[in-house]
Amino acid sequence: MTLRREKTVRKTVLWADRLADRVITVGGISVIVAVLGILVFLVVEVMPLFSGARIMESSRRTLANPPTAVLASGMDEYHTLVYLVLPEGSIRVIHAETGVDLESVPIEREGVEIRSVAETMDREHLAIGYSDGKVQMVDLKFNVQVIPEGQVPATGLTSLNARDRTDGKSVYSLLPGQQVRVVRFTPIMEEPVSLGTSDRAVTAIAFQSGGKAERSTSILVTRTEDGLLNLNRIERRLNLMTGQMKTVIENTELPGLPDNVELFSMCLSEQADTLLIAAMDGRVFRYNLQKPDQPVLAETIRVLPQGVRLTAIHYLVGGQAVLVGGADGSLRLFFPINEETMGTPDKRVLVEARRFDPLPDAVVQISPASRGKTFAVSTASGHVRVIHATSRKTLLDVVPAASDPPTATILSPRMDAVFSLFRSGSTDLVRFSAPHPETDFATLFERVWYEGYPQPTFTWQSSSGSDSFESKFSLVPLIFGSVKAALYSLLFAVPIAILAAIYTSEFVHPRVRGMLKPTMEIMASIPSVVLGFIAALVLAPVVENWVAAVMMTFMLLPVLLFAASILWQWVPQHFAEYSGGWARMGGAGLVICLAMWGSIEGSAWFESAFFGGDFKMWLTQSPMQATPMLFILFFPVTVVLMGFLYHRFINSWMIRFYSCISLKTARIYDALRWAGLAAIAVVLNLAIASAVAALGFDARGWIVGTYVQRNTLIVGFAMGFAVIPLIFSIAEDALNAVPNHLRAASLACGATRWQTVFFVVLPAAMSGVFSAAMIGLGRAVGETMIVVMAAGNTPILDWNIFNGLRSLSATIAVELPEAVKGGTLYRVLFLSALVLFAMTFVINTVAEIVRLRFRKRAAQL
Amino acid sequence: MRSSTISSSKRSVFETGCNLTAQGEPFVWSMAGGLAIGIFMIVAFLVLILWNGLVAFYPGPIRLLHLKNGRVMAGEPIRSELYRIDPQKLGQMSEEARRMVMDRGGYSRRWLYKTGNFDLYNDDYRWVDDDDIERMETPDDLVMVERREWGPFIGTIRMLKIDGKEISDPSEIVRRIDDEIQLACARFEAIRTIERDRIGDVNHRMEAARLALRKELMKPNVGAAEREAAQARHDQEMAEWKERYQVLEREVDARKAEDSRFRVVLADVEGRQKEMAISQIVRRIPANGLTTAGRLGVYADRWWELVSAEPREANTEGGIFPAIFGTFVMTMLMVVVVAPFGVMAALYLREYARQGLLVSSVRVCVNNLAGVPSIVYGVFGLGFFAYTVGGIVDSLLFAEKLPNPTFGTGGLLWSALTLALLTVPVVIVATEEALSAVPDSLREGSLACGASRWQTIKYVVLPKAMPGILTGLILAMARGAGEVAPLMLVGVVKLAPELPIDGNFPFLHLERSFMHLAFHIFDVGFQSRNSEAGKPMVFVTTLILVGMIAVLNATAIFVRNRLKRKYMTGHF
Repeated sequence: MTLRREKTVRKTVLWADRLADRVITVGGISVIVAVLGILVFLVVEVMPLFSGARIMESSRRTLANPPTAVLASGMDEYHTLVYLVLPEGSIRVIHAETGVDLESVPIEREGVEIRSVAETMDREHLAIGYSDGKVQMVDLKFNVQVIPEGQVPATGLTSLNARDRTDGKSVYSLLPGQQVRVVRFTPIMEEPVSLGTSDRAVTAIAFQSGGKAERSTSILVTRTEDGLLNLNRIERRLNLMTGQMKTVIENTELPGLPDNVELFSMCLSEQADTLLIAAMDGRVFRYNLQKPDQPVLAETIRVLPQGVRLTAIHYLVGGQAVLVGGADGSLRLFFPINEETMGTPDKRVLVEARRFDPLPDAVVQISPASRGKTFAVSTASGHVRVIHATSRKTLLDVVPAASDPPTATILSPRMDAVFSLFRSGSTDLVRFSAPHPETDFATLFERVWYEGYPQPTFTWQSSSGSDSFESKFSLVPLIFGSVKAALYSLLFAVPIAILAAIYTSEFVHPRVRGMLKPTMEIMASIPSVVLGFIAALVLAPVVENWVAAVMMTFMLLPVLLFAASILWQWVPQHFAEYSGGWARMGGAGLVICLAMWGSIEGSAWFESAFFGGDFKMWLTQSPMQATPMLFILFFPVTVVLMGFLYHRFINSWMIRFYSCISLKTARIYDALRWAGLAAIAVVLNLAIASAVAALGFDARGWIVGTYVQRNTLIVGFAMGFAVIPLIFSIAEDALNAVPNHLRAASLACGATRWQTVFFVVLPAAMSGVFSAAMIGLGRAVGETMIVVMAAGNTPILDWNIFNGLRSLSATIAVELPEAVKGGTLYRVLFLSALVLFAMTFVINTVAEIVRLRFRKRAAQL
Repeated sequence: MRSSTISSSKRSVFETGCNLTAQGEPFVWSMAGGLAIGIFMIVAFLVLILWNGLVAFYPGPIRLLHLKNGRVMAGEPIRSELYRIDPQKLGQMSEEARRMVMDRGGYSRRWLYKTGNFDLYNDDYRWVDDDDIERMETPDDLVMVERREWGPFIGTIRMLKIDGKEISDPSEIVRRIDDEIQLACARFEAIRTIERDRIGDVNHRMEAARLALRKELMKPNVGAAEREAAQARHDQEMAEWKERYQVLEREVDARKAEDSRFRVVLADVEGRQKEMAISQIVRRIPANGLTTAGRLGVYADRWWELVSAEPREANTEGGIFPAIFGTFVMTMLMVVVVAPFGVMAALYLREYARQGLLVSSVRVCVNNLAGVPSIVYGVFGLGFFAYTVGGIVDSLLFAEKLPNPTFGTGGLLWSALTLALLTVPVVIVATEEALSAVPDSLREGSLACGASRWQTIKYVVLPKAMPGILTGLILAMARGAGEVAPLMLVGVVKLAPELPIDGNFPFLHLERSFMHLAFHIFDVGFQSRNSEAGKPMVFVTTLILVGMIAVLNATAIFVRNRLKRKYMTGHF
């Protein structure tokens, strides 16, 4: 490029040139990289959703004089302390990380022994059943305080590890920012109470507690040595005046178990409305306690295959789902659902909803977290696994070096650490981080059987009211919503836009075209928020009032256009040739007004003739006739079929017939011919519709159904507004790009205008027109504000055009502002954006490639 | 099958010329129908927007309705509709009325009346069936009083209480009320100026002092003596500002006390009374007594309030000046960002990069990105700009404000950058087209004369391509001004307490959230307590927004057409 010359170029020019080179190259490339970087960033943000847990820290120690059995155990939120309730009658507290013994709290009852123990779901309360038939409750509280470093006692502390020191009871942990966290186990023993039903030993116990401090309620289920099952409700009221505690105990005897049952364990749900009694042989007896004075044995179900011993059973948080482990290493999840047909007294049955990956040997411990659906299990040989119940994702798998049966396995309340104590005395604390346990490919894209749902479903329900809520992150209803909105709006927009483009390009004067195109382009830039607002606040109420009229317009308009075209044939030919472009357009405009007027006037008749008087009522009441809607739906199909049959069998004969008559006669015959064809089409269509209806098929429940005000029809209209100009503009460009000599050649050969358009121009421009429709699809899939405002935002899988929908984009717009940064919902919404990006990118790329090929072809023609 | 059709129709055309199938009239008419529907939709849409936007502020008459059930109500008629009477209500009607309704096919006409008086009735719009009205009148003494709170009041003015003096003579009231309202407005403005500007300024200084102290204390290796010195400085400064604050507060209290001595008693048509300060009145419209000129005056006054004032009543009344201003500032910022980068990228693609498969696939990608949904850009803007980049900026420059984010949340800058990213493909495509329309002969001529590449671009190519580039920029502006979905994620709010540009250093506050016309439409139309009350506001906002975008687009089209004409004759 640079020429060598004798004279030198001014240095500033060279510098400016070089500088511009660099700046433009670097700037240009970086802009392109930045724009493409969006994709990379989205992927990076989404990746953690699919990962398991990351181990932060793991420490194995050995406990001096290990217990042989542990009745109950727990850990504080910060995994500092672990308590172990021992059968000898004491609570032993150890430091979780090092296994150093801190204190031992005795449970003082002389002369009696502990026969059974039960914990509540949150592990904050414990009930102990004694051999004298009494029951004692213990509050298992950790006292956690954060104090400045200066307030820590200077002496008397022994160091446990780099972070923690202890005075023998409390543990002082150093935090960043010169602060210290003090954790102490502070159990409160209540007085043992006699339940008053039996003084025999309590061999099994289940327990939940609730209520406030001044009025607490405990629900206990006890089984005494003589085999009696009792439901005990202990209510404590604090008299605020006197400060005295008053205890009221109510007892109800539960229906007994069969004789040969070897009881394994009893579990009471968190709401204390269901009691499960598990037998060693794999049977579970479900008691319904919803009416505490009339308990029922609702159902007996075998939860494990015959011959497999049940080795573990535990409720998950929420009190719905229960986990069952067997001696063969299998792990299953059950919950009750409403079911009328099975004949259980409470019309509910326990179903096996999920089966987890089998463990290598018998499952002996199940420890659920109290704030989520994650749980830890351990097997007889000491294998520990952390699993999320909804996603079935294995977060952590700790394989023992040698077989060593576990005596306690505890998952911390925040689901970020698991502690195991083994028979040999070795302890193992694994701190891990699993920020998104509830998502994996299956929960996002496949059917999941959620708690309480009658069958596996695709469900989106992200808001969480409590810890026990099972978040439902299925993207399928959202993708479905986007596709549904796009398809229905394209069904409306594509024919109009493409027909209009053909007419504009081929039949109107270039000057009119020069006006139409800019108008359409301005239309294309109308903000979608305006369209959404008009659709939802102006259009939706009107359409709701006049649904039948709208339906009728859809039918009436083609019919009237058809009639107008036949009438047009009577217009003198020279006039038709001279002014055909605008006259037809004006005529069509008149026809539209006529169709709307006719629909409003005739809608009452239309409704009574087709839909028994009220269209909306007809939509919801299925015993009414199905035929009318089918008639309307099948009509276009029948017309196309008729056209095909006519063309195939009668047309050539007709042409021969036309050749021997005058134009005037031909007009009459033509009108008669069309009228005849239309009549046949109506009859044929009626026959098809009745036949299909007789087969039991009904459009209701499929593409039509219950009417809601903000629905897909409204979205279709509004989105049509947004995409018609776009499709029109691109399709018109494509048609215009077809070189004029093709048209000239066709016309010169004697083809009519229409034949030229249909057989020459359209095939040449087909790929361009197709890409226009694709670009319209891309725009419709990603449209946000119209869907937010006019679609009702219901995430359901339903093709019903009169029902709402919820699209990916609308969900992002509505939920992302409130999502916690870095949380699961946040990342799932990023994934939605990525899916949307991918969908539109694929659609647009296809359209672009088709368009480029078309351009190349058009240039060659 | 196609070939056979062609041959058969060809034959017929040659034989007689009167085969009507070949004319394909039904198909041509369906095309004409498609175009007519498109045009019909556009016209209907524009008429709807224009009509509703233009009449929204025109004061209608106030009707006094005597209902058949013996009650009276007053209201401004808004619109009427035919509706189907539900069977239950039909059953309760008298025999005669039912026959009348059945004669009309079960439909009846009803009017929506704006009754105002939300504080008395708990609603402010009411549907009244024409059949329920006994008689109707338009008395002159009914007025609509627009208030700063509770929406309009429709009724009569019973009494003025000025400095304890009670005026209840109607003619005296009419004579004095307008002057009193004007005085009261001046008092109200004065109070608001002190509260917002002067007290706001003091608050700003106090906050700055607090942050300065925090910054000082957060510095590593600060000795105890230095800490104490900073603390003492801060305390002294604070004490000064607090004193100023108290002085201002006392002034406000005094003015408020004065203001509360001017009161007015209003009564609705059923006689329920409501007493309030005159300064609560924005304007009084004696709708039935106004001449056309008077009505136009009210109309103009309302429009002026719209474009100049701040919103009140949860955005459903008052003005939209902050929204217009926010849209303007954001769009300008966006253009400032998008113009150089978009043009640079296009120059690189067209003038510098070696044309080949890579560049053409990059081109396809850029084209595609113009079709990626705007909400995706919003998600990116929130995650990358606000949370990632903003988080880093905060921890480096505004650590003393943490954990309150400064740039680490949505704001003006991030919105502008997000929209710049959204519109950069539009600018690239338009600029590239403009560059490729510049004939190569011009470039070659320039180079042959000894100009360097940059000189060629600067003096030959860019001037020729400028109209095309401008078109692209204007189109980008139009798109940016109307886009709301991404902005909902990165910084638009329904009510911004402060404008993004003000008198406090550094004058342009890039971190502030702002109001936006398009979001205003969404907010007022969908999130206000009563969508009916917000409708006029939504329609005028829509009119302004659509007008703005139409003007931008029309400019772009005009520029483009001129460019085309220029090149038709300008070929070498």
